[in-house]
Amino acid sequence: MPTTEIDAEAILEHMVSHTLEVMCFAEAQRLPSQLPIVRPVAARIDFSGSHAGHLQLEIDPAAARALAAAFLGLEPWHPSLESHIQDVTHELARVLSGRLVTSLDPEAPFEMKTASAGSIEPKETIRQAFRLSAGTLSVTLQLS
Amino acid sequence: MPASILIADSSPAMRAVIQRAIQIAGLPVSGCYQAGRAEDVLRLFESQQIDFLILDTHLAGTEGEELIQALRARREHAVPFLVTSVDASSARIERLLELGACDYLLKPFSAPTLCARLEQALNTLHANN
Repeated sequence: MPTTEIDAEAILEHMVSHTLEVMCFAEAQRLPSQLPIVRPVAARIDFSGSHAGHLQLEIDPAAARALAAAFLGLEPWHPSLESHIQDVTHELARVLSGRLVTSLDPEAPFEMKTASAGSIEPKETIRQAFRLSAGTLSVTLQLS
Repeated sequence: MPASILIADSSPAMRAVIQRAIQIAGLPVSGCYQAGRAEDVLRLFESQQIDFLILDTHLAGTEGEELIQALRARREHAVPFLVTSVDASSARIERLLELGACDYLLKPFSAPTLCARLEQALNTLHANN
């Protein structure tokens, strides 16, 4: 296993737990394997630079709603919450991508780019899943 | 004197959370404006009295550094600003501090951390004026 992959595995797991705790007051428990999520709320961030690739976040709809509610300080049934769920999921993916990439190479700035059709073959793929109180969250990181 | 603040972040949810945190903390703020795109930031600076900018480095439409340089080119006085970012690279932190950022706050951050750092920045702003 390349050193980068070992680092990325550990950093990603730490960043998921840390980010969910700070932004959404949520506790994430690592699962041994990814489970399929039915109709997930998803967000993908593509990035370039010293570590190019993308990060895809998929969250159980009930869990995504609970995370958005906690982040915004709203009740989960608040009528305005629906319009923020995708945005909060995207912001979580953005935070995870940026902090992960700049942890792997602290000298190189994080450059986001528009999602591409995946023309570059990934060298490394890391998949992690976490149990939250309201459902499952999975994250897929591809580095090329 | 209370300051007028512009919150620039591409995430509407993040902007709402920052504004709410400022209100709850009771910081000396006379008004909060929000912008999700670089052109909105420039437009608001032309049409409103903005005393302080909270700027995310990956604002839609530009990078943070470019936006600060564009603001500098259009204004007589430098704009005091605090950076929020997902980018922990030393290169970007150094560049933005060189451009005059009074602080650089890494995401994710808690509301109390944001407010403490913002209060410090506003106190410095008032002391200098």
